[in-house]
Amino acid sequence: MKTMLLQLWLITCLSILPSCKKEELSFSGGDIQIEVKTGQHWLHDFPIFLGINKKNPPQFAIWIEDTNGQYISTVFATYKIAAEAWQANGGNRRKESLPHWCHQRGVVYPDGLMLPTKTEPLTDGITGATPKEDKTFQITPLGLGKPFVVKAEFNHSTDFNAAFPEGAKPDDWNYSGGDKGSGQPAVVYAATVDADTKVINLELLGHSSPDGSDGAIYSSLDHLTTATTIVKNITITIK
Amino acid sequence: MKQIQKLPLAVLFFCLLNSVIHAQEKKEVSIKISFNAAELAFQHQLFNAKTWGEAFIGVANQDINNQFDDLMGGIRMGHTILAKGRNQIDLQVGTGIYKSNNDYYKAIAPFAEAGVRYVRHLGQTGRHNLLVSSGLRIGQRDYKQNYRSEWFEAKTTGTLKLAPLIFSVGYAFKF
Repeated sequence: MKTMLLQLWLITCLSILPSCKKEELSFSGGDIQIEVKTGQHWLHDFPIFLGINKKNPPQFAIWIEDTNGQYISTVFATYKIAAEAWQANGGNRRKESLPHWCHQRGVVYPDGLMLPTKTEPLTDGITGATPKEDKTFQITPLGLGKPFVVKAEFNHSTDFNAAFPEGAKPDDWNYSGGDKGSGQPAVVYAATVDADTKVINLELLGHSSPDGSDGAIYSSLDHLTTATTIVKNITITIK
Repeated sequence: MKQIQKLPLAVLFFCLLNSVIHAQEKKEVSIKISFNAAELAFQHQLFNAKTWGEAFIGVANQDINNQFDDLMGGIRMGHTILAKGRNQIDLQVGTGIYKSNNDYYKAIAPFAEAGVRYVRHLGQTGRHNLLVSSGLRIGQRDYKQNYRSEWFEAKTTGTLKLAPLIFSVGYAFKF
């Protein structure tokens, strides 16, 4: 009986090892690969309590628009913004987190904000955990014709700097949501994919509204510090 | 005569009592909680008085939705390396599976763990015990996600990675 138990334990250990296999994307001709390479400040210290910090990856969304700036569909959005899953936010819906994506998407929720809610989470796109490492996406075009624009928006909570301080007041130009707010505003990248595109990097266009009150892109990067190195690069490869 | 009849009964009673007391060292049911899991375990001695095996099941909250709705289960083996007075320290190793439960992906992650268990016997009988466990757990599983619209089909992969540190406190009842 005891020997049998020991054998069962060993068999169980050995049998679960093969299930550690790695899942990989398999691309076909015409597929679009989007690779997000993490930058120096991909992980940011988020204060928990008593001076203890947690290394948090950014919230981000990747989506596709036409060349007229019309939103087509989200490819990916991180779980916290896609399902209103913020923690310790004191009821703040964090409209300053990814305002350009929200405004381009244009869905207005019952509270007047353009952020998905717990009861009405994002459905047009993949919702996923925020990765701590590089992330790859595969897009297989169906009705999507070229040219089109791939956009991405990234933002850290509480990455305050001298220009976007924690103590900024709601009427200040640099207000970013208060003490648990955004700090430096979200940064927006984009690239146009046309019929001749093989490989292209998304370019940093600018930053979003610091307090999330509009969906504009502000091209000046003068006041940004660590926000510009959240991402190392975002590369689109047509297979 | 009556006294003579009582003697075997008394001997039998004490034999039974002794066997019950002996059996107290044989089995254990425990409940343990930590900040990201709660588990129920059944333990039985194996091979000798210092070695035990344990099967456990539990709920946990290590996937994307941060809710205690994931399932975990597995088995452990342990060996008592120190037993002095009311205190006992065991080394333990184990293996199991972790099943996520959310609306976004499905992943069943195998895991292996190793650690130390401290047992503090409470009361006179030793039936009631306080448990403190700590250790390391390794477990992860890749998963795929996809989304399809009229425009395109999008796919990506992710990894469910279990928290590497284990620290739990609990209660054990020996019988």
